[in-house]
Amino acid sequence: MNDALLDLNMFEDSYEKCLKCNACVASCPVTGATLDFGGPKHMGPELKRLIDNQQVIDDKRIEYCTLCGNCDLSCPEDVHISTLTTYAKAIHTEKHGSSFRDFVLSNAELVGKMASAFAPVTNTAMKMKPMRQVMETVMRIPKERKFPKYKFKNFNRSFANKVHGSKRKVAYFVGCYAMYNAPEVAESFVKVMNFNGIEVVKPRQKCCGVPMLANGRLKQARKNAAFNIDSLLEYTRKGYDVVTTCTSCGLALKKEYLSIDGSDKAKELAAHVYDADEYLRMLKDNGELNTHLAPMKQKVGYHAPCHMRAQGMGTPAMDILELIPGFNIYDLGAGCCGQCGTFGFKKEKYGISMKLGRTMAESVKNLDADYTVTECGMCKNQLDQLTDKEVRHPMQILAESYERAKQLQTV
Amino acid sequence: MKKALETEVAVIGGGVTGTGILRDLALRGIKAVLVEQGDLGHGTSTRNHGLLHSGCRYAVRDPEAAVESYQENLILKRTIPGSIEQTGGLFVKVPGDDDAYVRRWLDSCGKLGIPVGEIPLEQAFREEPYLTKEAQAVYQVPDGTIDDFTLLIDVAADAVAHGAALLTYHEVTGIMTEQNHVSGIHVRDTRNGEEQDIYAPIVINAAGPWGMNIAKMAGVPLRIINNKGMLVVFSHRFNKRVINRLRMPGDGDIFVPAHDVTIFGTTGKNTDDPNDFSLNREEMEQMLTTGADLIPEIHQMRLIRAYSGSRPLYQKTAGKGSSGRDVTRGMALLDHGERDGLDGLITITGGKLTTFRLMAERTVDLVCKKLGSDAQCTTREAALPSRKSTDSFSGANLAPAARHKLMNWAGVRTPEFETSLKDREAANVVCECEQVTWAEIDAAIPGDGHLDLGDIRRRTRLGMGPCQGTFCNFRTAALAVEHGKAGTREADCALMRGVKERRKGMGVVATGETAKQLQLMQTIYQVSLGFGNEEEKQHV
Amino acid sequence: MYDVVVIGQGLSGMLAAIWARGEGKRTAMIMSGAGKIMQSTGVLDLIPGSRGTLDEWMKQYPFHSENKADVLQAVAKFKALTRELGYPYNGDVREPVPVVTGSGHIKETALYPDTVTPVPDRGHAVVVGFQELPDFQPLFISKNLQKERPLMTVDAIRIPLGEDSQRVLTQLDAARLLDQKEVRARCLRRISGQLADKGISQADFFVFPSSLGNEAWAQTLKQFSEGLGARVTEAPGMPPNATAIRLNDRLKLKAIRSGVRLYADTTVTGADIEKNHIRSVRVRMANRATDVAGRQFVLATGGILGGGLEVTPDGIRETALHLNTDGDGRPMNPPDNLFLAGASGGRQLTRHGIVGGVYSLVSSYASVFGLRKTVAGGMAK
Repeated sequence: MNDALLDLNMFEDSYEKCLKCNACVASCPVTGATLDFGGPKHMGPELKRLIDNQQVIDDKRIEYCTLCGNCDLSCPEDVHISTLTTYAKAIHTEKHGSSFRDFVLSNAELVGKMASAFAPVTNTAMKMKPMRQVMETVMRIPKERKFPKYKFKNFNRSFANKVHGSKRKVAYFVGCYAMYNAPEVAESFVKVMNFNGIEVVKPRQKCCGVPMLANGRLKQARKNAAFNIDSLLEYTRKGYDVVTTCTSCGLALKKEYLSIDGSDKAKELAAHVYDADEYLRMLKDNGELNTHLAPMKQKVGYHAPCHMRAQGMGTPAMDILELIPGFNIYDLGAGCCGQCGTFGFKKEKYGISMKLGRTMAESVKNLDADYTVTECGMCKNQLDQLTDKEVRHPMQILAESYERAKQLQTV
Repeated sequence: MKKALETEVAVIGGGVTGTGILRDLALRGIKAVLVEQGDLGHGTSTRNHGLLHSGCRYAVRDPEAAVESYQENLILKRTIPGSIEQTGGLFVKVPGDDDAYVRRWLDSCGKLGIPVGEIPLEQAFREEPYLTKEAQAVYQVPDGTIDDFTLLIDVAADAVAHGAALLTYHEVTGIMTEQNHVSGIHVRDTRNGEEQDIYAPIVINAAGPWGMNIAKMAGVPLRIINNKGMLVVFSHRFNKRVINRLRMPGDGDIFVPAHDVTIFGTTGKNTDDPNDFSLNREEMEQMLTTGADLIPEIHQMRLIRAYSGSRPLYQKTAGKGSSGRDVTRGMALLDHGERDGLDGLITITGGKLTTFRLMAERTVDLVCKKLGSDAQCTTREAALPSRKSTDSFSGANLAPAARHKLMNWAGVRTPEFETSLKDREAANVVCECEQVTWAEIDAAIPGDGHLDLGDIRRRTRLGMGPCQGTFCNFRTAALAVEHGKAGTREADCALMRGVKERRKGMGVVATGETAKQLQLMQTIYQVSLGFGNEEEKQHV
Repeated sequence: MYDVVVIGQGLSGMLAAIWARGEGKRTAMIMSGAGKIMQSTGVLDLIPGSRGTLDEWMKQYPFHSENKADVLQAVAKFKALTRELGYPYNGDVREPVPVVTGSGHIKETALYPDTVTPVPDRGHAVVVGFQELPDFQPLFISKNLQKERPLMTVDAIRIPLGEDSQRVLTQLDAARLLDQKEVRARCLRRISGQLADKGISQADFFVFPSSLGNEAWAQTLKQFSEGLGARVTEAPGMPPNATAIRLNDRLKLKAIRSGVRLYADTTVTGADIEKNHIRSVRVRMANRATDVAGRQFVLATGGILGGGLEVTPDGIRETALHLNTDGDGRPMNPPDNLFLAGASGGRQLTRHGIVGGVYSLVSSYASVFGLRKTVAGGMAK
């Protein structure tokens, strides 16, 4: 084993609990969609067991793993399967390097900064057929694939907190998507917190690292993790709670950092991290939630992102949104959307991505609601691609309901 | 009519000692036949640690055995590369271990010329994360590991290639004598009951724990203490190197990595019955408690099975009351002509896996003396082929892990497997834990109608992983029928036998996940596949 | 605060959650991973691994004979549910039927989906295997079936599914392939070809792996029975069996869409119990623990196999609520608002490691609706 690979060592032996029962194989969306994937059991626990303290084995079939985490959700023995497939990805990338495309896709933050700075140009260019043809030929990014828009007035520019010195204080981990593509989600979140009399600060932060892990760039992800851990701990140690509006960032801070960083600091941080809806549900359970919510007579379909479900917190978005009078929300129960972060942007995975999204698209169609709600920006991207319903983040709906309630009061 | 054959030497016992002797005889051009009551190595030779001693373990107590081990260690690394992994080993001193012993040990290793070097604790903890952080000193030694399964197969194959004959599943029913000389052995095929006489002027008793039975048949006195040791297998290989405790050798102080698992042992309890492979939970718990001094997490780690085997220790005086550990671990070569007046019978017993070649050399030297041959031993230099192959199997649609295994397994049979693996079905992985393809299994089935999952396991690693054959035993039996390698009845029987055998080894360690695994196995076979009715019917 | 909190998502847990929700209860289902339907065959046995009548079953399990009507009602409710799910189950618990398994041996079962047909005594059967599928070997199966059914003629054929793959296929993979119309048509052609080659013309019973379509099982069943002009059955065996996965996936979707709140990838690690009454259970999430409060609780965590009971060197331990148990893992004096469903009632309920589907459904029914004499509930004496 050469030194470069030794650096990749991951002390993760949960695979020893595997009973080979195939629950993960039967639950893996990708395994169901293509026979080219080796399946989570083999690519995760089985392979790591054969590698530990022996030679590494590189298996290119790992490229098909989306890190959606449905394997973890299905495992009755609590094997951290997606952590183990992350490791297989890292080995593969370490041996073969990243393609330029994967390097770009996994650098959500850098791309976000650049694209946002030239937002009008970027967005127009992404709609131009010749440009997309070039991207498809050169970078193997399918031209049919919709891209999230970039906003010039990104959240770095628009952040405006209006409450100061509250008892509860929130350090907001914005994430690349809400920062550069959907500042309206971030702005809504700050409003919702402010409506609850909670101060919000925006700590220095880097991309959570999930897109890097998905592309096998474990070392870079580790660097980002270390940065974020230190930055966020400064706040938690002063009594702040860390809250996210992106379920993938949330999963990274709560769970992935424990395995890829593995330090006591990662553990310390994880205990203070909340998903935004989860945070509101906690406020409600403690009787602290502002319940002045204006009625919204709407029928809404809820798509539960895989990385939300993987946090093991139930469905807090539904728990909170159903507090809005007249609001009818239905869980689509559609499983994985198929976008899977960067996965769906790859030419060779596009067919699988579309196949995976079919159930979700059908569920949306059958329910025929007013619009769809989901927390994840990438799920939204796939919903935009495959359905004609508007897609909103729970924070946008809550902010609207709070604002209307305020207007009703003042009138 | 009763079958008969004639040869120069009949070797009884297909363990490492017997097969080593067979090979040495064949290489010296002496005609020989080996008989084994079960499969190769069905006794002690596959029921041990698989430790390639550096000699360090015996450096204080038995310097002679230590130096023998070290010399053989160097020879085997060179001559049997396919069955040895040069892992290196660590000797670890933990609080409470005797400082004086450490000094004596270092001193003795130095005198014997066994290279020992202290390594920084930090390095040891980094390389072996499970090692106790209480460790006070860690020394690096040239220990290694031996795959006793491949060793036996390869040594036997080389012997056969040089003209020797091998009869497995043949038990010895009698020793033929003429006046004061042995003249051969009576054997019986344990599968079909057919009897056979093997005429040979020299008979070698290499039957290990069964050695006393052979001596009894020949009417010569022999006292062998069968010292039964219990070992457990962890579900994964958690150490890179052999980990020994730096103290006077005792129970539960060696962790040996073996391919994808770690083997831990051992205990020592004398038993009268060589067929006693019983397992005792309490004995295991005690051993684990001792082991926790080296590997603190030991009680939380998953054990997949336990097994036991007997060390045949020779006792010169047939006195009682020996505990086993204080009898010599050294080899005993007995010329029953000189000793008991029965010429032509030789017993070789005791010794270690590491010194099997030397035992064979000394035994065959004695044979040559008796036969008046001056043929010299060549096994110090003559190497068996490696099991590695490079750049192979690219034509097969193989999972990388299965290819990886084959590249470290197929050896000289690489061309054979390259051909068979071209068939897509042959490249299917049947045993997922150990990545065994149907091509390997197919090649390990004798094709004479006999199907034994244990025999296949020893040749391929089938069913040796954490699920213990839950999935692959069934697949193998059914595929054997499909491919005309066995009848349905044979396959069903082999399957029930195989499952029962795996269950026995799992039962004693069945807590936590292994208890679940055992139930999963039981549910699948008894309920899902409906073998429950089959068992009921057989009982009726 | 939930009305009903179900712990576990095996057959027992999912049925309890769906039925409770159906009664308008605010229901949560807490689970640490998929339930054991995944590894099952999807047919519901009375006494796993052996034969027996309903009366014998009621004696073996802790039922009183006057509960028979309730048992039948529970079964009827289950069958109605499966019809609603679009995956109907047949059978009568009073008359178990013989079905062929993935080894060719015959076992008795009580309830089975449309894709499973009881095996007749005589006639001409053909076992059809797929080359790519190691878990189902037709020759082996046909010979075992022949032994079990001496009056029957049994043949075996093997056809390729003919799709490129980079892994070894499972029965579920084959089922997903057969969801595609063109794969079905291709298979039928190959089967006909093989039958013609072997001169088989009178076959009236075809035995397939548990792979007759996943989503499109009904179309597959129809197309195959019509195309072959014979009765067709799946012979479930090695997991994953499509027979079971269909049931699992449909039950789960039903639970989600009917509004059961799922706490996936969590583990219950204890309970707040006051005066033998559970107020909430402690749930371990990805990064911390939280409490889930409820009025009633259903423990459907399974036995040793399901993980509800753990074998330790010191004996059997109940893993979720840390209840005191006897030597079989049977909870002693359990809280008054806790109902035990399925194998969580102790090892004495299991045969070869499982309780059997019928006990699961009846005990789940009892935990939601109650029976005249509580059979599951806090008791199981």
